[in-house]
Amino acid sequence: MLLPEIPSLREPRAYLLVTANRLMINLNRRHKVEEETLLSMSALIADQSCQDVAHIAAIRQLLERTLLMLIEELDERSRQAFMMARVDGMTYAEIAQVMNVSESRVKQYLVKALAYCHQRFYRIKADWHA
Amino acid sequence: MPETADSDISSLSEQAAQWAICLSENQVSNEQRADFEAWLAQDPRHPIAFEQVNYLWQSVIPRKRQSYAGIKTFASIAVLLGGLYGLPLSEWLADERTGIGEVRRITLADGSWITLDSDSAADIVFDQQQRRIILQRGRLLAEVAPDSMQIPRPFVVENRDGHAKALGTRYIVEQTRHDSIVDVIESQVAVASRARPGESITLQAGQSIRLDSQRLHPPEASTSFAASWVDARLVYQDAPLSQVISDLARYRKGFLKINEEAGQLRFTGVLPADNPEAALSILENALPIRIKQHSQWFVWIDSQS
Repeated sequence: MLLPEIPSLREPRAYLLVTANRLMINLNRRHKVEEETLLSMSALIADQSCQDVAHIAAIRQLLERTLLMLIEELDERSRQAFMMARVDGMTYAEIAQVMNVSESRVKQYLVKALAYCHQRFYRIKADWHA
Repeated sequence: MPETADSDISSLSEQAAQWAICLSENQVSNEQRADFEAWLAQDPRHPIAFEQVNYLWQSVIPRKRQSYAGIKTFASIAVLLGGLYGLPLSEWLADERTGIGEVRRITLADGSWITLDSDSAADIVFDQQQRRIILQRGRLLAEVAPDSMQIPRPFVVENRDGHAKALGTRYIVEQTRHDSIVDVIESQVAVASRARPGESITLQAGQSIRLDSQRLHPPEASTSFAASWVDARLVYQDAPLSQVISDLARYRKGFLKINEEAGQLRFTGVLPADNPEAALSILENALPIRIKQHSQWFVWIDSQS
């Protein structure tokens, strides 16, 4: 894609506009790459034909890292609950105690985190504010 | 995926996530199970979404069952010291974890090996004084090589409940929900609980001991097949079915639940750990049980009545 030439710095406002434009384009591209990566990973996961242990372990590790990245996009409470449950291996009751909320509230946080990851992976548009 | 309204799909993810979260706690009532089955049957997209969500949920393997600040602090101090003093290469630190169905043999810096069983985690902390393996969860087999350092360092496997120091070569440490088991295969191992680190018992080859963080139980004769899991074989002699199933569950994705009555049945035989489906059908032929398999991710075991 051809980008417009950058005007000289004697016109700072125009320069800024062009730069911002480029940033936006890059951002859009980045999102697209990200979405495609997630989608191809979901295809990789669905392919259960490979029984090689090393290969399966590699996919799992990749998936684990991706999930922990996606979790970063969540709100603080859901992220905290997810990390405690899956990284620290705490029970729902233990998490409830640490977060000082009820166990059913903990489950709500976890459901939210998990559903969010699922939607990101399978490119399903979420509507959390509905 | 068929064209559907967004809110519809959003609730699909959410419903599937609700079931995955609900079922991953240990106790599942008959009522919940019936509800779950009804939900699965309701819509062909439900089982697919559930499988996807459950796979995501299980793909992050917890490092441990309980968090202890102590070990974390120790590890970070070790890293810090390593950085400050530029300690030799023999000093190192690693987190090793295995996924479900994955059994991995790891070569350590001193030439020793540990074999991590499925769904297990251990930290490896080697310094100038000690070779330490911290078992965070699951089970490992240690095969200890003589240390090449001028002053040989002891080799110790420790966990929540205590520590087991090698006086020789091969032994197993397993951490269960409530306690730990040490099985000595070759040579001798000194075992002590966390509460009384000074009072150790020396086990001989062929002995096993159960311990919790407070105390050691009397040593017992170890089964001769304690290490058979390393070769993907699970060997049982008159073992309660509940134990067999909880072992199998470690090697198998998805949920494997058993009702209380069936759990009290006894099993003697060999099961393939690398083929849990075959293992289940061996059990079904050997015992008066009914295995209800809704899909590969939810299996319910009932007694035949």
